[in-house]
Amino acid sequence: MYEELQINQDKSILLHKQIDVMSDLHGGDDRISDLPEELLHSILLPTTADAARTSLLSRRWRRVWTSLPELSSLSGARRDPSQPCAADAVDAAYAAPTLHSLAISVETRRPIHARRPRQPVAAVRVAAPHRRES
Amino acid sequence: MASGSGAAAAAADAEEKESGSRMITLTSNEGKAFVVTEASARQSATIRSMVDDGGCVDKGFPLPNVDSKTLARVIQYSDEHGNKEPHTVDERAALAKFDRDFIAELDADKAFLYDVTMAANYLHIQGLLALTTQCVADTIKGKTPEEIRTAFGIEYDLTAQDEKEIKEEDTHA
Repeated sequence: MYEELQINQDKSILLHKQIDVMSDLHGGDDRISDLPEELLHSILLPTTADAARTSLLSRRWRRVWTSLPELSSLSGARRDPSQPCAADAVDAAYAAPTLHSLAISVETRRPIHARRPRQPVAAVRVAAPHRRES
Repeated sequence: MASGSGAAAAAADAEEKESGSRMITLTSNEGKAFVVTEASARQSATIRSMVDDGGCVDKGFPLPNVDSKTLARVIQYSDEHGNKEPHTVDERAALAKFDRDFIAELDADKAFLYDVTMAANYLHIQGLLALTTQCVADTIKGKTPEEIRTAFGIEYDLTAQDEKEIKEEDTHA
């Protein structure tokens, strides 16, 4: 599964190289997507719960989320099923090749036994491949 | 200056020189010159370090990355934050209101918001950069991808294959 992700990332890097050339040509009113990566990261960091969803905006934004250098303050409360929870963010972080730091705070009013077992499982999964790299 | 003794006035003058009563010329990439107080210019860490390094204050600073319209708006912010130091609760509230009105105008013109963000980044004006990036973050917060695309005019260029890959990545755990 990890290899599969690697292949997908390689593919997306190739696509983004094409987009970089194309973005100079398209003259829409979208300037925000042209902001440098570091600024987009500083924009996404405080909105981590929403940040995972920005990967679905466009090809340019898909790369922004996966290149976040660190994640923090992920909130796990999920009342609306369309809102990503910490586990989703962790899943997405698993695919972030440049991630070097991940801090999670889970806020939930549900008793601890009612939480989905998927959350700790996902957290363990993200730790494994990155620890191997460092 | 209506202060008492000559010595005190001289000291005040010297202090004023130190703290930035000098005027500094900033020139946009269209060649338009803007004369600002040093206190205003010092809002920019980029200019501040050039001034402190004994840079060419008399010749002024050409800003090849900033156009006149953007520079005028950036100076509006720097003047407000550099020329006055809020001491009272009312003054602080007035400055906060200035920031709110300032960003509300930019929020209504996303292309200009981008220009001002880029200029704040280039000039290292931390307060202004925090204000503009927070504005973008607030626009993203709580919206669906479709709503965010509409807000910024982002072109939807994901193929069905891309979407499939992203959703697969999302459900891998």
